[in-house]
Amino acid sequence: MVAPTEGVWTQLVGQPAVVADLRAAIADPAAMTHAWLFTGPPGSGRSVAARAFAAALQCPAGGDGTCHECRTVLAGTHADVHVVVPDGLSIGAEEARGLIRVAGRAPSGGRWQVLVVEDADRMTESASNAILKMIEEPPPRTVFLLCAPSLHPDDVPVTIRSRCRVIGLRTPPVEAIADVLVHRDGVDPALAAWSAAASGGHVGRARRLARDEDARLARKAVLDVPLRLVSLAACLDAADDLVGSAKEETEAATEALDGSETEALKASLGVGARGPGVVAATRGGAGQLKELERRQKSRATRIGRDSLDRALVDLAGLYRDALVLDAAAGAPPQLNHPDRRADAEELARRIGAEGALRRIDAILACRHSLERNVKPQVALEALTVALRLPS
Amino acid sequence: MPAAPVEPTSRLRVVIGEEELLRARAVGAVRSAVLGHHPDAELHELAALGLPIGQLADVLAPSLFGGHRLVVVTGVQESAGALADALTGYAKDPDPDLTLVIVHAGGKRNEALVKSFKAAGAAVDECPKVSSVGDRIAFVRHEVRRLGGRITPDAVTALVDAIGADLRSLSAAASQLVSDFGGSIDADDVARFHRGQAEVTGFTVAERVLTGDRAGSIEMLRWALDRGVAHVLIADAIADGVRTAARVASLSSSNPGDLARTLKMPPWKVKKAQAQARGWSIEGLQQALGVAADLNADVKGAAASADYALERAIRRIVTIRIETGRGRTGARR
Ligand SMILES: [Zn+2]
Repeated sequence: MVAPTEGVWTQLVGQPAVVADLRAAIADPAAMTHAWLFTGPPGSGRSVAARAFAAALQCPAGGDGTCHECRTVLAGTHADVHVVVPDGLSIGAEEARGLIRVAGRAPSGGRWQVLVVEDADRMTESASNAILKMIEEPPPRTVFLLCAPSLHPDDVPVTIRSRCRVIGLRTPPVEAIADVLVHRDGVDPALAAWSAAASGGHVGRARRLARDEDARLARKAVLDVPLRLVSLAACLDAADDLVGSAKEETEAATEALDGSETEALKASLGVGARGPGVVAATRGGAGQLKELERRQKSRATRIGRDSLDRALVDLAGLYRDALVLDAAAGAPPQLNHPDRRADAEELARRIGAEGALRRIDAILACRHSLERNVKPQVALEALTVALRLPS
Repeated sequence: MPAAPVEPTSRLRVVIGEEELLRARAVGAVRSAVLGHHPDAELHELAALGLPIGQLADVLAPSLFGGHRLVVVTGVQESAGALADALTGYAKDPDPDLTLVIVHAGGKRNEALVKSFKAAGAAVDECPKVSSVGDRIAFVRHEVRRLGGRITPDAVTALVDAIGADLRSLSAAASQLVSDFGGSIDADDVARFHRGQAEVTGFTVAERVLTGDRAGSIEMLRWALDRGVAHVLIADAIADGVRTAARVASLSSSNPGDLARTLKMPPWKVKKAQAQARGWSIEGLQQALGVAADLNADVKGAAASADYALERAIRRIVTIRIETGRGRTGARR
């Protein structure tokens, strides 16, 4: 049995209770549950936990992290572990059907047939119906690991939730995140502590902040916004900047990916090749290329939306800091952005608790608007105007 | 249209009437006829208002190098007495190598000048105001025929109903229709044509909303919806209009050139936005940005009826403009 601080379990940051539950399940295979639901706030490590658990399920030693099984699962190349990551905004019926086909097979060599659905909250209704049928009567060696932000019915249909064993991850403590950055990623301790504190409990975010100067600058630009908003012109400029940097991030993230995917597909279709049959193949390939383009576009939309959402969460955090600072007398409260305490105090002075609350609501409303496909530019302009400082 | 057939050899010519498009066309026809006969002709176009007599005399004086000349003097209803006299004097003994066109925008001023040209045998292009619906229908029919097409009576009526009194728009629509649908145009073609004009329609609605024209904007909205323009396009156009007005109003400069550079917009768009921002306060524009964002969500499924959501948003924006506006805005309506 692998200790909670060893092997694949080291992947989980600040989640001792989760590790204990998962280890217990590995220890007693007879009591195996066939459907698991990993929930937790973004960045808490839902999918990391699911993958670690998948490795422990396949590993003869229960997740030592060093054997062939463990390494291939963690690398995403294990033949009996299938991960569905939505490229676009949703997991459609087509992807779900592919998953069902795999789920019906016996494991090819491993101990279990494991299916991991990251972002199960992005399943369309027909996709979740297909999954539901499968987990109602699972094949004996098949395990489903679903990940979603919360147990809210918007995230996971009640019918699916009721058939899953729920593993709830918490927001990892700042110290645990900093510790991982120092010991696993070799980050300088001071930078690690700063990044962990600034990450809002999001491990991936903390890692990016620690490693990437651009990420630090982008965060700074977002947190500079509230005190900039002194005129309508400033509000419109800030909206432009926020939308613009989300767009830049999207372009940077998709460009490389799109290009190589398209090249790979073209190569597999024999585009540019010569010889009999090439023309016919190319004709069928046009459809496939179009489909790839559609998926790439949908993925770009998601990346852009996620990037804006992160900015909005950061902004809301700063107003929340202003709110706590306004309310708290004396005792230093736990801040979302400890490094921007002076800004939060200045905000508290100028807008008060009520003003901060109203602005947090406006940010929430903006996030909802974006989820409902409102044009980012339009939504962000309305937001920055609502956030404008009193003159 | 009762326009005299163009006779390029006539040395004197009068283009007269209220309809600017027809005047411009008549002048254009003379110009191309002259160039057809004399490819090397010298062309001069002068505005009568404030034109020094000496300058007119220069272009009317016989050329040392020979060759034909075309001189167009526009807006002669505004010419000073001395200039009118000079033109009248020239008409008595015109140069055979020169075509002189005077353009008069109609009305009583400098009528004598026109009479003297007519008396001297000038050809006349009449460009009367196209004011009744019947005139507009005749105009469209004529336009389509001129371009080598045919149009059914219900199609003409639909087009005139939709576009209104602006002759340039009617003419543009006629030529677009002929080129899109070939020789024969019916009411379905007109409807399809309008769906293709979605963007223009959305912006037309937005323009009315921004200028506080409540009745006009609702009318345009219904008109656009009837023709199947997508709700989202109209909502986008309104958001775009509010944003652009807000941009222009939020900057301290009012110089169109400066604004065009700062906002990276073409100058014509800046001028249009300035006109639309007139009467708005900053506070009003801020509220309108919020309405535009709500509307965007509504037309994307948040509201039960997108038609109603659009109408409500339009009413709200117009009301905001009145309640928060600068000065006695909208008083003229
Ligand atoms: Zn192992």
